[in-house]
Amino acid sequence: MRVRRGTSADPKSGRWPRGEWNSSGLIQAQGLHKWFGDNEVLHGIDLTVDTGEVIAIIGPSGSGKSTLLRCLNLLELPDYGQVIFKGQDITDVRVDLNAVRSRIGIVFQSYNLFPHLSVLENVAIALREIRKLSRREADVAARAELHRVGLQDKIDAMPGHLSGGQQQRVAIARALGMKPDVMLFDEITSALDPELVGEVLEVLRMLASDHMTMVLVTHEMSFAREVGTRLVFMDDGRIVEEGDPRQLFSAPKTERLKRFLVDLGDR
Amino acid sequence: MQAAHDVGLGEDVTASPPRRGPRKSTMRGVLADTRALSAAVLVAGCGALVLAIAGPLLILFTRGIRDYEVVASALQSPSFKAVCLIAGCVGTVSMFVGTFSYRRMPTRVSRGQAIIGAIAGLEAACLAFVVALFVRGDMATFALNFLNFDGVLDQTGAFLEGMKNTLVITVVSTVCGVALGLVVALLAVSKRAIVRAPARVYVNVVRGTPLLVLLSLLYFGLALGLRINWTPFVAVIVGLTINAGAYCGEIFRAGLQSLERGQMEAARGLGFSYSKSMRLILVPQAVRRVIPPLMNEFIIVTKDTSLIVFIGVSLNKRDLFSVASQGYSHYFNASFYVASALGYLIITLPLIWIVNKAEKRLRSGLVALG
Repeated sequence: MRVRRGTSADPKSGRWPRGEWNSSGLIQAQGLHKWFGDNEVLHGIDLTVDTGEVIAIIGPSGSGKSTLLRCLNLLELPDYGQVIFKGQDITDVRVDLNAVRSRIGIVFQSYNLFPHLSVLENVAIALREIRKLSRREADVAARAELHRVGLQDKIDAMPGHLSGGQQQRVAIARALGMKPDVMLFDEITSALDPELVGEVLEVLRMLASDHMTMVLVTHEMSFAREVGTRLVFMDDGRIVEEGDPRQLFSAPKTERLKRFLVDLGDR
Repeated sequence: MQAAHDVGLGEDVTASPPRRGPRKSTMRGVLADTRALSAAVLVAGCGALVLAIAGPLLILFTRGIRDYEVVASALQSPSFKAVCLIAGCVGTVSMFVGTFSYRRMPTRVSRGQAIIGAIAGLEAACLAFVVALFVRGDMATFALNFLNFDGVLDQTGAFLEGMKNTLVITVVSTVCGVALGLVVALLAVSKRAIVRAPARVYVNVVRGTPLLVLLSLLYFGLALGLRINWTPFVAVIVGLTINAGAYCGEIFRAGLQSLERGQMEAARGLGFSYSKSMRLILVPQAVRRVIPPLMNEFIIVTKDTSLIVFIGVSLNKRDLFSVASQGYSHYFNASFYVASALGYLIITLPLIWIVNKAEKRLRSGLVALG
C-alpha cells in the first residue's frame, strides 16, 4: 500500500492536492507521512518555508524533527505526501534529485566531513564535481567560504585534526559553497562540547543576518528565540504549534508545548 | 627509552623534580634512573638473546656452510651445544629475576629495563632450548636432505627465472584480482538483491571450493568447453585472479560497510550522484582501511602460485615452486624446497615493507577519526 517517491494522494482523504503549489513557499511539504517499519514517525506534516525565513523546529526527542528535515531534501523518502521545491514536486521520480539537493544545503549533527580530504578539498570537491568549476575557481570559492566561517588558517589541515566546532564550521562552509537556496541544520550543536557551541551559533547568526533561508532542528531554545522568525513545535510526528518564537515561548497555547518548556526549565 | 617523572618514591622525588613538558631522555637521565639489578637483567637477557641467535650462526659460518657434512658436524659439535645451553640458562635466569623484580623497581627506566630483560631472556631460552633439543637428533641425514645446496647452486639461474615468473603471476593476478574485487564489492553493497545476488554467488562458490579444484576445472574443463588452448601459465593467472577477486571482494565490502552511514548521506546531501559518492568519497576511504588485509591477500597469492605444478608446467615458464619440485624429484633432495622458501621470502618481505610505508602515509590523515 505504501508507494515511494511519486505518490501524491493523501492517505486519508485520497485527495490529490494539485494546483496548490504556486504559493510563495520556497519549500512546501504537503501531507508527509513516514513509517520506519510499523512505527509511523510523521503523521501528515504540512510545512511551508518562505524565502528569508529562519524556521526553528523544536520538540522532544523522537518527535520526528530530524526525519522531517531529512524529508525536505529527500535524504529520507516520505511514504506519502509531496515536497515542492521552487514550484516543482521533487517527489516525482522524473526529477533530477541530485540537482535539487545541490540547491539545498544540509549540515548534520555528526559533521560528516570527508576524513581523507583536506579542509579545503572538503569544500572544493563538490564545487569541481557538481558545479563544474575549474580547480582554481573551486579553490578560490572554497577559500572564501572558509574565510567566512573563520577557518582561513586551517585550509590545509585534515578534518581529524580539528576540534568539533571547527569541523562543524567546515561542514557549514562545505554546504554554503554550493550557494544553496536554503540551508537545513540537523541539531548541529548537539554533539559539541559546551564551550564549542558558541562559535558555531555565531556562524548561524551571521547567516541569519545575511537573510539566508534556514530550517534548523535545535535544542538551543534561547538561540531559536533569538534568530528564529518562526518556531515549529513538533510532538509525536505532528506539528503541534507554530508561530512567532517570542510569542510561543512566553504564551504557549497548547498543553504539550507548555509541558515541554517546563520540562526544559527543570533541567 | 623515555625517562618520565617518577611518582613519589623516596629519593627520586628529590632527584628528579617535576618539570613542564615531556622530559628528554638524555644518557645521563637514563643512567641516573637505572638500578644495578635492572641493568644486570637487561644485559643478561639481551646478551642471552644475542648469543642464542648469533652464536650458532657464527659457529656454522666459521666452519663453512658450503659442505653439508661440515654443517652436520658443526651442528653436533660440543661448542654448538654449549652455546645453546649457556644462552638458554642465562636467558632463563634473567627471565625469572626480571619477572620477580620489575614491580619493585623505583623508576620507569629501571622498571622498563627489568621487563625488557625478562622478555629477551624468555625469547632466548625458548630459541636456544629448541635448537639444543633439535641438534640431538640425526643431523647427518638432516643436513644431507635439507642443507645440501650442491645441486641447488647449479640451478641458480633456474631459481632466478622461477622467482621472476612467480612475481609476474603474482603481480598480474593480484592487480586484476583487486580490480575485480572492487567491482564485486560495489555490487555486493547494492540495495537491490538482484544486483547483490551474482556477487554473492560468485564469492561464495569461489571461497567454498579449493583453489586446486578451481584451477583444474579452469585449465582442463574450460579448455574443452570453450575450445581454448591455453598454457598453464595463463590459466594460473586467470585462476588466481578469480580466486583473489572473491577474497578482495569481501575485503572491500567489509571496508565499505565499516564507513559511517553519514559519509554517504553527506555526499548525497551535497548533490553527488550515487556513483560519484562511491568513487570520490567512499571507495577512497575504504581502500585506506583495507590495506592490511589486501596485503595479506597479496602474500597468499604469492604462495598460491605454487599450485601451478598440479596443472602442468611448461619448461620455459617455470615458477619458483616448479623449479624446486623438479629439482627435488631429480636429486631427491629437499634442499630445493628450503631454497625456494628463501626465494619466496625475498619476494614477499620487500613488498610487505613497501606497503607498510605506503599505508602509514595514506592513513596519516585519518588518525583522529580512526
